[in-house]
Amino acid sequence: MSKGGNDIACGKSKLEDRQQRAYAVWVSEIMLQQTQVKTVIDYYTRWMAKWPTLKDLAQATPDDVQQMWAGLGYYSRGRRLLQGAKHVEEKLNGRIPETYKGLLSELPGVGPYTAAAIASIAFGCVKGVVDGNVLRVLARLRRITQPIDTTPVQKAMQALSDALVDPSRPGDFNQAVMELGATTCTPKAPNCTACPLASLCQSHRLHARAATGKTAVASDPTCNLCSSHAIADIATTDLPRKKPKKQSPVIDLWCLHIRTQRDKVLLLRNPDTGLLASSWTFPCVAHTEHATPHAAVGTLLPSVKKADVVHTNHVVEHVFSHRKHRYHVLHVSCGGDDEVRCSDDHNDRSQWVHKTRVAATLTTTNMKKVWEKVKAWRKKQGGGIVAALKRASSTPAPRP
Amino acid sequence: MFEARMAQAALLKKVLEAVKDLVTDANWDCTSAGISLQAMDSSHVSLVSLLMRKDGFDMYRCDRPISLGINIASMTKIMKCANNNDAVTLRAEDEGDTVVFTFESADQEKVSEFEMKLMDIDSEHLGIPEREHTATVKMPASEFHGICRDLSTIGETVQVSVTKEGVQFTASGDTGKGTITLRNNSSVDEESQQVVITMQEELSLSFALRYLNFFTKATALADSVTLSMTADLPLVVEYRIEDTGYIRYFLAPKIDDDDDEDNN
Repeated sequence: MSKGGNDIACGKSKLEDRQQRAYAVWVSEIMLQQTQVKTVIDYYTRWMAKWPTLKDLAQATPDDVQQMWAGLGYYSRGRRLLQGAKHVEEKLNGRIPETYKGLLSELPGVGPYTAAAIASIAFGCVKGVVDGNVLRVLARLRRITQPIDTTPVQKAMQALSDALVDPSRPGDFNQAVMELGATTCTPKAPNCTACPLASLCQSHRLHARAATGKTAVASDPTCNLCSSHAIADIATTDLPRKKPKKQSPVIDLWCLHIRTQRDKVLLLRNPDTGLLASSWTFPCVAHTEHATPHAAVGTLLPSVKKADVVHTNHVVEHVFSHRKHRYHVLHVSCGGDDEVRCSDDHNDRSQWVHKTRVAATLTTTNMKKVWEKVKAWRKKQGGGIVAALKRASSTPAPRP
Repeated sequence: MFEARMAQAALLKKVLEAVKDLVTDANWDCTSAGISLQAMDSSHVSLVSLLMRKDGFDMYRCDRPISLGINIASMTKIMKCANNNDAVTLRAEDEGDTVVFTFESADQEKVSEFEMKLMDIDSEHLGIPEREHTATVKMPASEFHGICRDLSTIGETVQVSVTKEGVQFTASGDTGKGTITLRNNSSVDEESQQVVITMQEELSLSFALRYLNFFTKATALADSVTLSMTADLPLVVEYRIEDTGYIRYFLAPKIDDDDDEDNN
């Protein structure tokens, strides 16, 4: 285990200064997760003005925090910060843990990266940080060609970072490596000629040798991080490598646009948990060989004996983070003028919405896309020949 | 027992040509009066209605009404095996599940027989009102075919405007605009070349050219075509089949849907 893993606080500065610095690093690191620096600066400044110390933050309400966080996204980050501050105030005597392990285990929302950053920067613990920038710098420096998003390689990277970190100024070292990754060892166009680590960089050396016609460095056959790819056909910018992304599963659904003669459209409310919880949706059923749209309408609206189901031939694709939905949009005109009662299973979660209110009722992007397709289709087919012929029967003949 | 014979396979081939792009499966409803077919396209925008009266056949016999559920593509393939001048006989047993096509060459020296399985097609029969229209335009079928084809190169929609002077077809698209005007010329001697406009009031309606192009597949069936129009109601495009009946197409007019209005 590396030196950073020990349980002794290694800093030498005064307690209050250390604690205040830890709070500031904590707030900024949490804000910087998945968010760009230029976006964070303004939020950080306002946050620190409103809650200058951890004690101040611990007095805040969740609503205060939510409001302060508005627009920054991933709102659970703000909630966890507040939970953490309260926890420190109430359970830890107002003192943020001063070790990597303590930070990791005590503070909600603090993972290995944030814990290492706070420990090294605020408390001077000898612990290497590993973020995206550091991964890139290290993978190139040591020519680690195995995919970095696997557990063994991740562990090796943490160990490498812990081994390299400067024991006298760990915080500065960590920030310097991250800065190098952000400014010089960039993903697409690394500035190798300006890089202070060029002379130590295995990728740089390998490509320099290849350019002069010399054979590539033989790899260490015992190394399972690089052994299979020590040749020069992997460019520096190809590192770090990642596992090929798995195709997210595709789910086909019939999406039913059920409409009465008076232009009321049936919407259902999603369950309170799960994907797009509690939002309104067009009724959807799994698109399988056995489930026909007619049967689905029958289950949903038992009193409708014969619905007119039309394939619009529109398919709406929507990619969620873990799957892709393909909505095959069907138009269903249910005979009567008036809305029909849904089956008992669905009635509590259903409503008939006039077409003019549909756009405002739907909140999710996938259903808004479906609605756009429905509108486009209706425009194109003029409400359908069935309705048009009915009008022809009921409209009086033109005067002779 | 149902049995019908026509002297020329060409007619049935033309009929199939006129429906096959619009409809995949259809019931051919046979009664003692003749054969009729009614079907919508898959997106229910248009409807085709075919009537072939028994007088149009050389021989016609239908003991009791029978519906022949036919896949149009399969029937088209079978009819391809007939020469235009062959005589065609359709035969089906009352409780059978097949229909038999017999082709006899004009010189009687060759006889082909094809048996085709019937399908169960669940189709709704729509009531089609016979009604007066605000405007009708009769014109050469080939002229209408050409207009639809030409305007399709410009846009997706054609606006048909009928005035006393004539009928105007307009399409516009990204590349520009096209307008074709036909004047009333009922004075032309040859009836099939006449353009005859009758109207109660001026009107202007828009239709999807895609469907009109499906309809003009019937051009070979008749010399002239009649368009009947009333505001908000389906356009009727009729081709009369000489001595036999007609094929009529119905197309819902384009409407401006107000689904977007969120304020009422």
